[in-house]
Amino acid sequence: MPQGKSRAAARGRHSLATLAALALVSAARANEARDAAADLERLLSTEISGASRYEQPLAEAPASASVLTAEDFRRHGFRDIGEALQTMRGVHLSQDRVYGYMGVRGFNRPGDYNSRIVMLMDGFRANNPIYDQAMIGGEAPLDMDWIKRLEFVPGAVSANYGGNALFGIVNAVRWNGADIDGTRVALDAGGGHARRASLLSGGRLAEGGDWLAGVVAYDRDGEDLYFPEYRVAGVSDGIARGRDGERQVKTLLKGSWNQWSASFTFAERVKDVPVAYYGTLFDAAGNSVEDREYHLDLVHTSQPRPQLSQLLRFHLGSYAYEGRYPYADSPYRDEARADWLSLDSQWQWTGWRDHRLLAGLELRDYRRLEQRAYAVAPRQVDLDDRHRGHAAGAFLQDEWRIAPGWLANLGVRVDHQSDAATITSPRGALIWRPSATLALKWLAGRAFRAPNDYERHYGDGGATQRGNPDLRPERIRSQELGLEVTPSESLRLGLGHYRYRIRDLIELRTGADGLWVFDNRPAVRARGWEAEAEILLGAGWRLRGNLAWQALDHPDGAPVNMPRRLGKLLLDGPLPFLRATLGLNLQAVGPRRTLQGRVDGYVTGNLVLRQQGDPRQGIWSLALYNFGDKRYRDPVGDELAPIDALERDGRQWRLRWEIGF
Amino acid sequence: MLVARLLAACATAALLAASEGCAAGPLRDDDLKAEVAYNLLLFVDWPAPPPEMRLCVVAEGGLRLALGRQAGRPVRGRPLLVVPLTESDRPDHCAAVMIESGLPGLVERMGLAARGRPLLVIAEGETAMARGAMIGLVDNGGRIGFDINLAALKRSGLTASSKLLRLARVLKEREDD
Repeated sequence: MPQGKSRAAARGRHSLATLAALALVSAARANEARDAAADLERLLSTEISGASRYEQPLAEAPASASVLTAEDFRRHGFRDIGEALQTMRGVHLSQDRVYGYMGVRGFNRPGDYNSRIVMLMDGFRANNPIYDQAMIGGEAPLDMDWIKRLEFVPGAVSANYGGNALFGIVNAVRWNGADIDGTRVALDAGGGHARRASLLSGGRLAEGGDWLAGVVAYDRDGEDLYFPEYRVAGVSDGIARGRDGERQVKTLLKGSWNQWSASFTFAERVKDVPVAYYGTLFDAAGNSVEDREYHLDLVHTSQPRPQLSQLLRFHLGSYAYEGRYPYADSPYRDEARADWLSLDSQWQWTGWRDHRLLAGLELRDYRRLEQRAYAVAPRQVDLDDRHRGHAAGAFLQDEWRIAPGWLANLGVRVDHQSDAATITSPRGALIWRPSATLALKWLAGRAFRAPNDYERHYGDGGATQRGNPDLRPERIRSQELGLEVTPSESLRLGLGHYRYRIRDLIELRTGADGLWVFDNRPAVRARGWEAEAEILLGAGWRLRGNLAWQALDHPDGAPVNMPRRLGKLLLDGPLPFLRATLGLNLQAVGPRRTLQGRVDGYVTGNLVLRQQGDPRQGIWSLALYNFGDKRYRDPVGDELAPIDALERDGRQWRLRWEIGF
Repeated sequence: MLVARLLAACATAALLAASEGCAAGPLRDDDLKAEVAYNLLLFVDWPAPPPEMRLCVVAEGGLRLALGRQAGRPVRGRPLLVVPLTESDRPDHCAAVMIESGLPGLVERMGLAARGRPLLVIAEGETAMARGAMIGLVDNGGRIGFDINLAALKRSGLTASSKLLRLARVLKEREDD
């Protein structure tokens, strides 16, 4: 046989074989494709396990939300949610070595307990009803290790969340058991003999369920602190020795099963108070505050009809506060107790084209609202105030896709509370998105907060403070314009302008009788600009920064504790030669007025070096807070007189070892 | 861990084989999203086969773990590689990227990164497609549905099979739709 022919025949056989193989492959592929299509179709008709079904993150709401994730917490070593929140635009923090105070858009008055922010944990309201306090420091009923994502949505949003949502919502989304699917242990040591241990364990169950358990213990002896205001020759050298200690125990149990999910949160925190506030003895034992709370939250979700989803939430909350004050004649106590339960229901209807309707009903029963103030020995009761109360709210919201690129969000809520008028809070937003990389937003809303139990009823027998049961709710109207642009894959820019007006502002003043009293004040107006940028620098490095310019007209003149300018910077990325990541966080805060004078502006920074690698082998990180050892002060309220501004911590350190398995 | 793996394997098997062994009860949303994401990859054509079938994941927790469990499954004859990505990373060596909801600006950035290069951007949320994702995973009445942005797919040189188009909830054909 000629070789050529043989080659041709062989080629022919080869081609036939190839064709046959190709035919087989393509037949197999066709079968695979058919199977895959059937699989996909089946997946799309599978119902999602009820309790963990799709939820729209707040960050996708029509506002200029800020979000930090667990990766940010790791890289920047935030010790509490306050430290994380203060990197966000328009937020500034102050503290008085007892609690943390969150200023938003220029507003952070002495005597406030963050009562104009709603704090949510996995969607439930965590403000306690005595002080309406959103807790953001060590006192917060949650630990950074428990949080998957922290969202801050600024703006007047009572239309969705009812009272107290004057300046926005903080939402801490906590891990689920399925997120962890193992165990994480973290051990910390820090300045002031700080020690902390954290254990978080979670797993998956059949039928889409999961479980999570976490416990955190923290103990810090604190450092000796010098207060020149208390230095009096022959009486005190102005040093509070070992009076800044703090102890925390926090636990979290969480689980989901079919359409149910439940969580139990417990937190107890005792903070020693190194300042002689309310005229207490300086550098004396027994000056402390204790906050203790628990939350039991039960959620059921269902889908009664294909276009209708329903959420029912039952919540049981309890809060207890005890303030211990040393005086020369007798120790003194402030106590507060609150027990409440609430029932929320929400329905979402998507049956109408281009509309998403959300309706809700919320009932809250305050079964116990108690405040007591008394001298211990001899016992003299100055206040024994017991109340019950209730609140009810109903809201309706429509997200309406008016036309391609246009979205409107309209909502209204009616709230009724015992001891306060019924209040209607509308909200509207219009978003124009001409392209994927450009969005223009206009938002307007009204919000309110009813005077809380503390403001209405707290008094200490004519010593320092009296209640004001005649307080009216304060109300805010706010408007905001926002622009978000993504010019390139490594750059994102945001710009916003806002205006707000608060009437009947509830504020602590000194009355004609010389006692502090909360009172409604004339209108307060504010306006400001905010700008932010996010830049990817390459090689895994990211730079985020924001600036705020804010102005507020207060009836008493220049407002206290309001910086006109704020600047934040977050830089992080890998250092391959060290097999570590570096996180740098800078805070610039402009000068602020105090009650008596002013404090200078400052720039401080934190630096975190964190080992990269397999968490099963253990990971070390070292954090330096205020690494430049900058001396700076926060304005404080009258209760700390003669201190007008309190010095913040100098350089602090924390060494952490964590392991996951 | 072994129990968890067995349970996961059981759930997957129940879904794929539709029934034998374990009952196909409700699934966690993360597991279902991961299954859907894997299946979506089977219906998209890249202009040239990517050197590796690398699915990059910008997600923490359950979704990242669930997608991780899809690693090794075949996509166009090659094993799927699942690689976690942080928000700071560029999707340089990814054939597809899956983005968790609630990360402002990230879908927009990934959408831009995909312009003119064959990168499939899958993201969660109703607004994902308007922000530049090619496939948006959405709540479709208690089930998972998906929307397809044909304009964005075309810009990246990717094509979706007709079967995928048929199963999509919404098809966006123009940028301004």
